[in-house]
Amino acid sequence: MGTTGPEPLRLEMRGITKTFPGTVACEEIDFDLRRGEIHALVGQNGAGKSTLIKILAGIHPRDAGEILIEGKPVEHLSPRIAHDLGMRFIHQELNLVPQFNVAENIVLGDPYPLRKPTRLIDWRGLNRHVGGILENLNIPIDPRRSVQSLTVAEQWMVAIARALYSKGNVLVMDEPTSSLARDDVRELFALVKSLAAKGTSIVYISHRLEEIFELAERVTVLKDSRKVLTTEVASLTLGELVRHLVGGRLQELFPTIEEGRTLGDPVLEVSDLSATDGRPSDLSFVVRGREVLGVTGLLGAGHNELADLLFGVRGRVASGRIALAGTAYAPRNARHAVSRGVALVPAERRSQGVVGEMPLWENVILAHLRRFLIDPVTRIVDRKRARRSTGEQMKALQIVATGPDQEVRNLSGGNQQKVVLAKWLLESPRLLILSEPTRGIDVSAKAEIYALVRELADRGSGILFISTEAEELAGVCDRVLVLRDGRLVEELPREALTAHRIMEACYGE
Amino acid sequence: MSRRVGGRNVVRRRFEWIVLKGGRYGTVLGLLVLFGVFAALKPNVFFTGRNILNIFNQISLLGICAAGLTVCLVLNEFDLSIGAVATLGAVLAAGWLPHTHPAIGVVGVIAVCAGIGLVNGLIITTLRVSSFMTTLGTMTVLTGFSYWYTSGSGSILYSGIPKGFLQIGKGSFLHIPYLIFFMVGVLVVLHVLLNHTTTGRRMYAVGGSPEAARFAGISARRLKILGFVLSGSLAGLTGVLLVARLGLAEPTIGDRFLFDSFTVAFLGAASIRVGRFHILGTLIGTLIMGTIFNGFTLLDVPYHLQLIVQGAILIAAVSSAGFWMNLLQAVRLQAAGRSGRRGEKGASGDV
Repeated sequence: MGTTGPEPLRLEMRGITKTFPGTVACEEIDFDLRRGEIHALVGQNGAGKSTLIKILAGIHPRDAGEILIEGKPVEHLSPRIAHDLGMRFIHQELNLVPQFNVAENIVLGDPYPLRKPTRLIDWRGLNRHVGGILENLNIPIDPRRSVQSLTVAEQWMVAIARALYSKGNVLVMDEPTSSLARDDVRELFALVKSLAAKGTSIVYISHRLEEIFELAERVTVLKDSRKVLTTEVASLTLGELVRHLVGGRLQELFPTIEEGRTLGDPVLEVSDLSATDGRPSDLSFVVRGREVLGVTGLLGAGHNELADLLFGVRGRVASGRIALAGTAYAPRNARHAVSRGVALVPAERRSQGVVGEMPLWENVILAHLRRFLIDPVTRIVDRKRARRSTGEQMKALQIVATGPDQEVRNLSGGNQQKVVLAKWLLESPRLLILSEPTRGIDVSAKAEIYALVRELADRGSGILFISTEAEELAGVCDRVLVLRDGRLVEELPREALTAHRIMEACYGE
Repeated sequence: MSRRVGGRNVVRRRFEWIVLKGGRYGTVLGLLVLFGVFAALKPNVFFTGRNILNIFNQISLLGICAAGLTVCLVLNEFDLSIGAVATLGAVLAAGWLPHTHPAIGVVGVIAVCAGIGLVNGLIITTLRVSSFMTTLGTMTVLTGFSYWYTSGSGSILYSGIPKGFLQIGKGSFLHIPYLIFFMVGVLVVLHVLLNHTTTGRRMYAVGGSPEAARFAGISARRLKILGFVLSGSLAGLTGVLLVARLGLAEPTIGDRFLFDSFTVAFLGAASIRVGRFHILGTLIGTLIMGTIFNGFTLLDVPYHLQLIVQGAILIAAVSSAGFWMNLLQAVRLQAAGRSGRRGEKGASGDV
């Protein structure tokens, strides 16, 4: 769109700062959006993207900073006000009503066409109306289809159509392509570009960097809660973008890995493993004692699913063999996994890792209650001993809390994660699986967790370190497997481990 | 395209079709089977026009009460106070009607019950207490009130209820009892409300995906309050009509409507549009209950056995709907795996 004269920006955020107890989520971030622009917002997990967007959506109030829409300052934002100002947010969950068909989802929240005398809904009119809108947008979907029968790409298109139907002029799209096939991505991009050409401004959040070069005009990089830069995409190369994204982190963040150690016997042997949903597919690998094996990929590549699959809590094995310390292992459920010496630090800390309402000591002994019974008949827990053990663990793992009785929900994310680790370290597990262990925790806690992981490996455990963050994989692991669409695409040995190399492997080419 | 694969696909599609229909029409089929069994066992008594009308007459009040509850369930909320509100409606009607004009009395009672629904709705939406706990509380309070209200007259109120009012419960038009008209009227109005008005569709949206509704700017608060007002009013109407039918009121008179309404609404949610509460389903559920009750009575099956069968049927119906759905999903997943398509949905986002 050619602009003449100083046209006000559609959206301007200046000096946005937001702190949560224990962490700074956004620090002095500037962000702006022109009319009809596609502006990519990138950053690693925990860089502050989500918080920035939630501030814009009126979900979190900002601590400091200004927001201007069409040049006018907006003091207070609520979801309602943001909606009225034309801002539309499409998250990965898409927020469609699963029971409704396409037409009803598109008019959701707006008036339905009504029949004249009765004021009842004119279903035929609705379908015709929505059909026309979809046709205008070149979206070939029958408005009468149920949204549950649509592919993810089609659901995205429906969500976009709804945003436009309700007169949105700023569209924030969070990771639209993470679960799409390449052809679907192309279709979606065509739609997004045509919207921008008609004047809709788009904030595009994605971990797939190559897409940004295909789609966006400008890109803003966030890192560690701050803005690194905003620039025209054309002035960057992929390599430069990755460098900005990863940055020069402190080397002390990661423990030193002793070269030329002798690894132990194989702890976990997986051959031709496929899950029923294809994540993973035909995967083979071995984890030895004293080894940290990283597994990574883009969101949805199957690495996170692998953790749940091996622990027996989600997904089902379709084919393949698994052996633990030389004997066959078929994951059934968590109890079975624990009895075979497998431990999991799950990705969803709050819901799967800790019981927030329980004190620290109860969380720590949770998986090994039997060791703390006074006698096996009454099954009464020896609290004194449990507290003492917890105290020892707190000291060993440097858990910062008022004492073993503090409720876990009041701890910071990093300390909660250490509680999860303490739970498994009571008895050294044969195999420790960590899934996104440092998600949403601050840098110093990350460093401590990396050190703990290495220490545990040195004591003989095999470790499967599953993560989406290239940097930490490069810093902690002995080897890294890269998955794409559930399949192993590359295995990177220690010598080749750099964040850059891992990211390249994830993005393909 | 080999022929073998095509054949397998056809088989799979047939199987899917059967599973899908089995899930949808299982309860309807169950109803027909029940009908057939009773008709075979008692051909001269059960399957007669008079008895069919009788069944409808017997279920009419339950249909009204359960329809109100269905609205709350559509909103994904519970209303446990309906039994107590029906009792309250009954004792207030029996207490007031001897002294007031019937129309004023009836409207007054229903207004009070609507008011209780309003209070429920306000507590749930403003104080953000779960509907389960809130209505459990109001249920207990109202039960206490009904005991107190009837305590002066030996727990039973029956004297002085006008004859004309009692005629509502006993009379008929074209051989069809008045109560059936009440039920049909309520069901039609609520069916249209839920399926053909903006308000109703938004109720489904709020119940089905509260987040999506919120992001679309729909106010759940007003809809929920309306839902509880409707369920309160209809429970009140049930109570009033109970008095018209029985000619008396006592403080446990409405208790059964709580459990029965939930039973039939959940039976309904296992029918046709599986997993969703809807008025047509509630009607089917009510008919199943009515048929069992009627048939068993004709066969002289003792009451305790009726209860046991009723409970078993509820569990069977609700779990079978889930079973069918799981089966369907398994079939589809396997098919998807075979043709190499990927399951959808990635992992959740970042912080």
